Amino acid sequence: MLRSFSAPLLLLLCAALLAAAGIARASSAPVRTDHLQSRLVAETTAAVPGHALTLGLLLEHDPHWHTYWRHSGDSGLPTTLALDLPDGIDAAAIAWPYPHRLEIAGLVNYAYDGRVLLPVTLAIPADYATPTLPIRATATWLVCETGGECIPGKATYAFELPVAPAADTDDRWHADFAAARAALPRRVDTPLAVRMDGDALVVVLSDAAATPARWEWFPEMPGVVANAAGPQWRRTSQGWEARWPKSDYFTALPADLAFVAVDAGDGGEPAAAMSAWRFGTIAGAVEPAPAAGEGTGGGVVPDAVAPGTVAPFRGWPAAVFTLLTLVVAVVLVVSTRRKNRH
Amino acid sequence: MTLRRIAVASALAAALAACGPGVDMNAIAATAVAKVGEPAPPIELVDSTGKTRTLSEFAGKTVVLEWNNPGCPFVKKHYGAGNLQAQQRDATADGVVWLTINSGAPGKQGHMDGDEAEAFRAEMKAAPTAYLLDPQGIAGRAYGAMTTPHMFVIDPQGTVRYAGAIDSRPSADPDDIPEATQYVPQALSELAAGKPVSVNLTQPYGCDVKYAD
Repeated sequence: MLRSFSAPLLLLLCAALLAAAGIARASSAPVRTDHLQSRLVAETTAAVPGHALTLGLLLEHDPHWHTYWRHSGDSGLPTTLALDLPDGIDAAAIAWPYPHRLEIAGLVNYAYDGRVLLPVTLAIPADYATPTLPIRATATWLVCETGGECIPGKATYAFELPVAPAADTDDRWHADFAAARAALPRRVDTPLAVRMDGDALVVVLSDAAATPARWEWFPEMPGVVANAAGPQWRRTSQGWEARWPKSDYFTALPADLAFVAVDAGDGGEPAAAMSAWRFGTIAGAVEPAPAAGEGTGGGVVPDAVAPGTVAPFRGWPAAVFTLLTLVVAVVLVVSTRRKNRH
Repeated sequence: MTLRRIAVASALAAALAACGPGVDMNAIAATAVAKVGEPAPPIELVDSTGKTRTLSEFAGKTVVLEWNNPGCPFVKKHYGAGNLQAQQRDATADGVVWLTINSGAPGKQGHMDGDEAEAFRAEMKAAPTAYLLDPQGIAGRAYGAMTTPHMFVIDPQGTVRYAGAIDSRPSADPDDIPEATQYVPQALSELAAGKPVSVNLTQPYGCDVKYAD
């Protein structure tokens, strides 16, 4: 009987219930779908006005099942996350941890398995005054069994995060966010120079101290390079140059082409100590540097010049890019004519 | 196996000729496919009724190739909505040959024998000219078929004129079909009008073709 409770005990019970409800609300309930459990979680116990808030789509795959990276590879579909947030709160795109390369019967996918968290960061305005932050989201994915069946999946998530002047790390997901952060490629300031040469993309890395030949390379978008092939690196006087057979579905060099490179260390298997980088690209004809070792198989005239395909090299004004592109185009045309005369 | 060896050997020769010194196995694998603007690789396969069919028997006709796996959600998307059947009926009504091909290996998801393919065809009210069985993946490898669906259009002279996706919306959601550009009907109508194919190469999307390991 409720009456038999003393008033202080009732208050205590209410407080405990509210506290429990508060904690429960700080993440969505897990959603079980075919071969996958997913939920949307927050890194901290509250949203703090004027600070960034990181959410994560936590995916737990059944053994032998996987979902896909931002570029799924030869088949598959990238996971999507659409956030429905109060006005004035903007979310960045998913910050993709590097994936695993999955090769099945000659077809290559870039995928995640096991337990993985895909982070997204929100900017909470300093003047956000509502006591809670309602978060709603819809995720879609394709979950596939390695070498077998594929099943599209979709789930919606909703929870409210308290808004407070300060917040603690939510211990429940601390390891997941830490693992995701450790697997986020670090942005490299020097872009790769890329150009088409016959049936291959030529990639120039102007860093003699780098060790790109032992890294695993992931193209961020389809239709550029053949996933089943890889870059073949050789040393040049200025650093490194690779030929990477182009995709059968190559039509033009995308302006925002980027590559992720992962140094798997000596073990081969991804480990906590590994490093990942994200290289932007800049389209252009870097003069082929003389090879340090074997001779080049040159003599192939560039088959495409794509003016305007300049990489997102942040910090440079657009005018510089336009000028650079024009110069590159002129150089290419001139060199093409010269080569044709021989 | 012999056909595959020939395909690999000719691809090797082509790759060597094209690349000169420094060619590697990866480059060969990447070039061993049908290419837009080049002759379509030959096909010789048994159809769902047990009859041997070849691409050359359709010389002089426009041919559409459709890679199929009945269990793949992307294939289900387009059959479930009636999109592929409509394209098949429209194309064949115009005298175009439509060949649906299954390159799933025995034991792999989506592999079918002749009876199963016939049952699929009846259940879906599909209207291809023939449903070809490619359990060894010979035609699939020759064309570089990566996904289901994966589409090719071959003109009456035997030249590949389109390769790639079924449409412009890579998703498993049938609601995306009305908004998408359907690349095969577009290519067929442009070819019929004597025009160049405006979109002739797109990144295919779908499930991976379940080739033998």
